[in-house]
Amino acid sequence: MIPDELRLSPSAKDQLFDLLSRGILGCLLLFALFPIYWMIISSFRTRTEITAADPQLLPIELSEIPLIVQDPVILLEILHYENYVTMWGRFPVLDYFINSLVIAMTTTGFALVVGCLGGYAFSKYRFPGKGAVGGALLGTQMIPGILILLPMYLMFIWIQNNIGFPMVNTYHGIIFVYTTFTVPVAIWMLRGFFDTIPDSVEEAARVDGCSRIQALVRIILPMAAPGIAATGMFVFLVAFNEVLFASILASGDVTPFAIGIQSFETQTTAYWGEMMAASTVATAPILVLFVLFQKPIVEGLTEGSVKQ
Amino acid sequence: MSRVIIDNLTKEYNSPGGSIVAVDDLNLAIDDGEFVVFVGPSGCGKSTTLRCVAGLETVTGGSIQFDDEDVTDQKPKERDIAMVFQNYALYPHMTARENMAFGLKMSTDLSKEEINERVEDTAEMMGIEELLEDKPKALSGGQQQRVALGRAIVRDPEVFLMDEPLSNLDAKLRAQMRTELQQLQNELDVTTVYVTHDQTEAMTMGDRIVVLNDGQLQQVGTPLECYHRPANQFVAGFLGSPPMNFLTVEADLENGALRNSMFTLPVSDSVAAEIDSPNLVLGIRPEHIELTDTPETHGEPDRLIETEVTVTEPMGDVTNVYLDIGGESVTVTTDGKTGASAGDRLYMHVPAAKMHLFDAETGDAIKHSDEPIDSTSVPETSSPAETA
Repeated sequence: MIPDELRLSPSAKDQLFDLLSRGILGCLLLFALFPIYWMIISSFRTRTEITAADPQLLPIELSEIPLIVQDPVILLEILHYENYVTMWGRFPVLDYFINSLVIAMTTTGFALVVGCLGGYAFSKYRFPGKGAVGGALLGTQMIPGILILLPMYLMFIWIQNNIGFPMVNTYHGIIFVYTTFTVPVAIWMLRGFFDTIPDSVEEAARVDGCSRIQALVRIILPMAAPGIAATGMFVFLVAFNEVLFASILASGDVTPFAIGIQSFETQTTAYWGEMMAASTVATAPILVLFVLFQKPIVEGLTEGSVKQ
Repeated sequence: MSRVIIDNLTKEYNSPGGSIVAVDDLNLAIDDGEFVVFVGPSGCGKSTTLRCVAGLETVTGGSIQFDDEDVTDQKPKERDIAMVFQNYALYPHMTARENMAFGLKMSTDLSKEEINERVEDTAEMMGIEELLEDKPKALSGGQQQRVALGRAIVRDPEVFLMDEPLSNLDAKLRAQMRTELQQLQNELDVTTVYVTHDQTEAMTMGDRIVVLNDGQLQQVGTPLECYHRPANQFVAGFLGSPPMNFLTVEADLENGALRNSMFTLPVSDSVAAEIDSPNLVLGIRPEHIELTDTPETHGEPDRLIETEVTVTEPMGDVTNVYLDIGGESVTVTTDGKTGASAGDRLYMHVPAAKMHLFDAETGDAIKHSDEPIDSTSVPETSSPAETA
């Protein structure tokens, strides 16, 4: 038995629980953010600093802080921004980045078009085999990518050899691959959003003079915009970050950033600083996009869960 | 404005357990400019029928005509209808103005200025000019309702279809909108089909009401016709609040009486002549029963039934008194000043003229009360459908 004086009052319990949960969340956040922090500060370091046996946690000395406060320009001298200058010349960073953008954006476009039409059909239509097809779509997500990598590669080679249409190391090839495995997720996510839109709104549009496709485009899609934004962001990130398929199916002129970044590590040297600088530059636009779209995405991700 | 003819309409849904008949061989003719209310319990087929008229459901059998044009296979947008939905179904990403203009934009060749003018005229009529630039989210339930009505009215359609448009409003607003809607329909004189499960709306709003149950037409008539001359026990029990009281009785024609284990009531020869079944249900409306605690001074002592009061519900102007007759409950609506209280033993008087009789097996009406039906406001009811 716990003596009464040691028992916590209900409000103290709440506070303790609050403190604990914040503590755990803080640790997890630190765990997630530290690599990004390390990437950024490493991009401002020389190779010697990066590979030092006792790496410093801070990019500057504590004694330098008053100086920086007095004159922020001094930061440029303390931090080694050279990596950001030299990386462009050493490797085709911009090409990698553009490749990634082209691949990710086109995939997102395809996945959203197919996902919207498919998700809408699954949500609002009744058709034979609806359950089976829906289940099969979901089932594709249960297969590890590595299992279909080789068959996919062989299929691409077969198409190239027999039909004469190049697939390996092309934009359309890798976009095709990404579309095949993002479309099912897009359909399922969007179906959830369409489910929350009452049928009567679409019916009102049809009575108002719309065909079904007009009702979809003019009424349903604008209403599902947060869901479409969330789904689009999800697909974009999957395509932007993908490494496995890209490593085999997309090299040469279409090498995306996630693969291209590996070239900073050559057989003789690893250009860590420049690699980190390139990574920072590639991550920044995505982060900015995320911050801008955070509200609709969060709304979108939670909307499907609650029946309005 | 159109005359709407529903001819042998049948709608079946496929389900894993076989097909479900939602509307069963429905016949109805709705006159030009008439306000017809479909009423019935949940699942009776009233909304399905409306949706068939709208073209939102395909029909399994039968046809629907607007004037002489068969619209059965036409899409909703080809039918020149406007519909008001239970949840208003406003477009949330558009302002009230855009909501109202959308139908005109999609279905007419009117110029922007003409559309704007019509929207503003309608908004003025509905008293929502101030709300035109607001999105639905910023509007209260009542205001959303007005915008939804405005969106239908601005179209100036051949037929208005309304699917329980008032059921999401609070009681006070609902009563207000009820009268407003009636006035609007009178002014616009557009053929209107209105679906509700609320019998007060049905009784007060419609030129005629159409009572449905289990997909089948029970009765078509003016509200008072349906109330005082119900075609069967279902209609009698559905219309009226509190509902009509039903007591199972047996016909004892030799002695000219109706018997129940608790009472015997005499019947006249003319009524007895119409009785062809021994098992009957006696129906009597709560407001037609009179209560007395002095049976000895009553004019018709042989029509009194001894009962016990179980509960009283004072409503202010009237009091609902619940009585127990051998396990069957009877409700009586009396003057609000009644002194009756639970446990009292009272006698209820069942006037012969106000009594209804139904066949216990088929539910068909055998005798009605003699309450007069005001037919002056009744439109032509000579449609062939009513005899179906």
